[in-house]
Amino acid sequence: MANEQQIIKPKIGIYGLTGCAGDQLVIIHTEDEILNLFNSVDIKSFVMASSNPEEGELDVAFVEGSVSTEEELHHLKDIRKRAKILVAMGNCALCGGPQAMYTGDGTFDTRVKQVYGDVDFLTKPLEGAPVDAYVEVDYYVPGCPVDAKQLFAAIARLIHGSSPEPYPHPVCHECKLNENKCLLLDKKFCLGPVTAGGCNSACPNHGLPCVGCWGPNPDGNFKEHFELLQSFGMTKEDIVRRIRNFGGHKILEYIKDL
Amino acid sequence: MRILKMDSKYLKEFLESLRMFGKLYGPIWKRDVLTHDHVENVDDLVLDGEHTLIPVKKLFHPKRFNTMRFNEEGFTPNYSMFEKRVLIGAHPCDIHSLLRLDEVFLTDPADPYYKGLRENTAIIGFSCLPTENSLCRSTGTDIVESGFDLFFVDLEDIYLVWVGSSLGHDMILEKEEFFDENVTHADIQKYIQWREMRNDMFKKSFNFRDMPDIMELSYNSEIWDYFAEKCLSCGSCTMVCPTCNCYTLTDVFDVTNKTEGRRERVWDSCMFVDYSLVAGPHNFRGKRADRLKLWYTHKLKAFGGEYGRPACIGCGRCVDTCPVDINVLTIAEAFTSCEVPAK
Amino acid sequence: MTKTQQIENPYIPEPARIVRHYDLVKDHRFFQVRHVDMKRAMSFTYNPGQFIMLSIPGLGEAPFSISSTPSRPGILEMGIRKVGKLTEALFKKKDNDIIYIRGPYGNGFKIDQMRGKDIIIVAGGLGVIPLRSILYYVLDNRDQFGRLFFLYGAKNPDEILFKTEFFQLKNRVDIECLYTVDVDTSGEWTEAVGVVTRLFEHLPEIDPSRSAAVVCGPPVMYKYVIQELLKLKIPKNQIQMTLERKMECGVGKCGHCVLDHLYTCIDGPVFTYWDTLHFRELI
Repeated sequence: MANEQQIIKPKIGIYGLTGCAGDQLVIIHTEDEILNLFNSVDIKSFVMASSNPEEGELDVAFVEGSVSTEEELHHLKDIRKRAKILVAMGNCALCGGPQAMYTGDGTFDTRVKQVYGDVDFLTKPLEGAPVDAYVEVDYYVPGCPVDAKQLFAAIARLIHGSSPEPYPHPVCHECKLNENKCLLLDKKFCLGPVTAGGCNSACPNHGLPCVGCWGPNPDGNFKEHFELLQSFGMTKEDIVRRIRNFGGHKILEYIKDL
Repeated sequence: MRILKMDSKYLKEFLESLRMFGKLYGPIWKRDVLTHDHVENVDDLVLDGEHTLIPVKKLFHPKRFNTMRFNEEGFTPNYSMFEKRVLIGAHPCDIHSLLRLDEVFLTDPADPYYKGLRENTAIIGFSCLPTENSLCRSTGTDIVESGFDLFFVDLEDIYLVWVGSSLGHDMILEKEEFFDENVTHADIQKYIQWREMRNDMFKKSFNFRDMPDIMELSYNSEIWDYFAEKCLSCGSCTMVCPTCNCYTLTDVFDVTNKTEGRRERVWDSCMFVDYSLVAGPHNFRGKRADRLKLWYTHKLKAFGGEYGRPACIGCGRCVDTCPVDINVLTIAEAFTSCEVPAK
Repeated sequence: MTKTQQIENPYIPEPARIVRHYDLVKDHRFFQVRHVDMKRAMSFTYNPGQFIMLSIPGLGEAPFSISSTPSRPGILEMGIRKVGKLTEALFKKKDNDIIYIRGPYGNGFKIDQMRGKDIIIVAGGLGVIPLRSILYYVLDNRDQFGRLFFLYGAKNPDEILFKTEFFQLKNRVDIECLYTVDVDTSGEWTEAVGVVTRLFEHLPEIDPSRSAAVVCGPPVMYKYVIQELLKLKIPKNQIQMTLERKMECGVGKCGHCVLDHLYTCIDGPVFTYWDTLHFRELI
């Protein structure tokens, strides 16, 4: 058995692109685990915790946020080059985040002009896109923000040289485990069945419908769910607009034929 | 079986006295949801016909728990959930569901977690009146003859109390003064009237008896595809079904460099896409229709063992719960009439 | 409170040591393991066709068929393909490392019904791993069985498992070995080329009522192999097959391996062709 000296702690980097930094905050704020994390990995770069980053080779890089500028794109490509494993963390990195809700409609340039006018950008703005639009991603930890339990279970697997456990179930699974009444029965606009679970049904636990922030559930029955929501009086346009809030790039393939 | 009579005015005091046999559990309201939980105050108990959202199985087959811890030395089981408990307010269908789960979990080799929780829990059953979607008369589970320590039938001013076990008898002995051995003709009449009144209250029924054959004959029916197109695969039917026993295991490492962690067990559902997925990968039930077919095979045809019975105990929770109206009623109706429901 | 040491818990995995391992072909590895507790190792027995649950702490647990025969006790053998997290971790283990096992589980082959009969073993691809158990069982108890035919097919010569062992068997006079590959990519393959069902052409005359067949292979293979066995008029309940399903408990509790109302882990994994006619999901 390995003794203390033989343990090689994995070199970790935690990075943020365009986003609210909420996922990095989850790491900092999970007091039960943060010391365990600092003890079991060698954190090379995590600007939220230390202002002296060492930007070298990494075993695992966690990247939060969407790619929204050329500078971020260069940064991301550099991280990818240095990291053996790259983990996309949070909705912005996975789907593009709310800033990617109009993905694919061709209005990006017009919108930029409308908001910023004619200005010279320090770095060229890009339409918000998930990390895997540009580089290969090894693992995904969804959420807005990520769920501490799910994130640290994933981190613990990576520390042990293995991969995170997938959770291919809808939000409804944990929602029922938490003994919530189904909001769809009250004709509420809930996206639970078509949304990936893992959030511990955070919103329905408070009587609030799921907004889809874990991204699409690939097994979701989008067609029937849209029909159900329409029967509640929503228009298809409304449903699409709301599901794209957090669906970003990833939702498009599931709703393209609806 | 011994049947006694108790004046209704003693109920609260009697239930309170059961604390000496264990921690009290029963249906109580929490955040507008009726749930089986620890009972601080017996006044909180809901002993009429209303169903809890999640059935009583959760007290014996916990929704999510750690089965073991592991480290370099191996695996150590976790039995911290065992405590002496008294479950008050189990309906006949609840008790039937436990007897059905016993066939799965107590068959050799017994599941030690279920067994430990079951052996440490006294069951105090209570009669109920049918709710909107109760189907237990169709499934023959509206009355119960075994599987309880005591069973109370509510006849308004009195309770008739069935004593089902030695432990139940001990409970009676603690408050012997509340109970009367003398069940009169008038009491019997009252009980018969109550049964008739209750039988007349059922609003819904289905052809449960013929369903095994109908299911077998309909194996290749295109009606399955109709339901598969509707099903959201949310898994709610399985979570709320009192006889669904499936679970999944996941190993979770602690955040440490050592080999330390836990083996977690969570309720699973045959409606989920990875239910029959093996490494390779090969999915034996990738199609929604196959997943639905499996569930209804268990509920309406046969469940467990060579000559298994259908597992449905007629609680009506799938009827209450499915957002797109796929449930034992609509399935039974569609396959009996060979017609899909009108939109 | 309940005394924990008195509780029988079938889920607790027992430590076992990897005694030896070697690669069969790419991503397929052979493991010999033995319980750490020597008493347990020597008393451990099973039926051909049974399986064990193998754990690596932190990575989980999965079923693996036993490839050795109980007629050679003391060592448990498995042939394992690297396909997921658990097997990836297993492939990182070295000789002398500890893994965890529990079992044996499942029904195994109905050996009593096979005694005195001619035995036809038909394996496709990885299906040869569980069938190796019954193959060696028959060879080790040769006087209890009639003639022995061993039909084995793989995609190409590079995917033939246990190549050395199985080619050595060709020297024996008490077994007829027929091997084939779908495609010969090596140019050095000396045996048949074509799908496994083509090997039936080389079988001599058999007395169907005095024959028993065991089959294991990829899901697509069963239909075609069974057609051939039915052509030989072997009774449906004398054709046994062993099936793969997802399993998490091995003892009929978790539900995942369900087929109709049966559980593969306790009612199987060996089923007869007659069973499959009743439980339509089987193959």
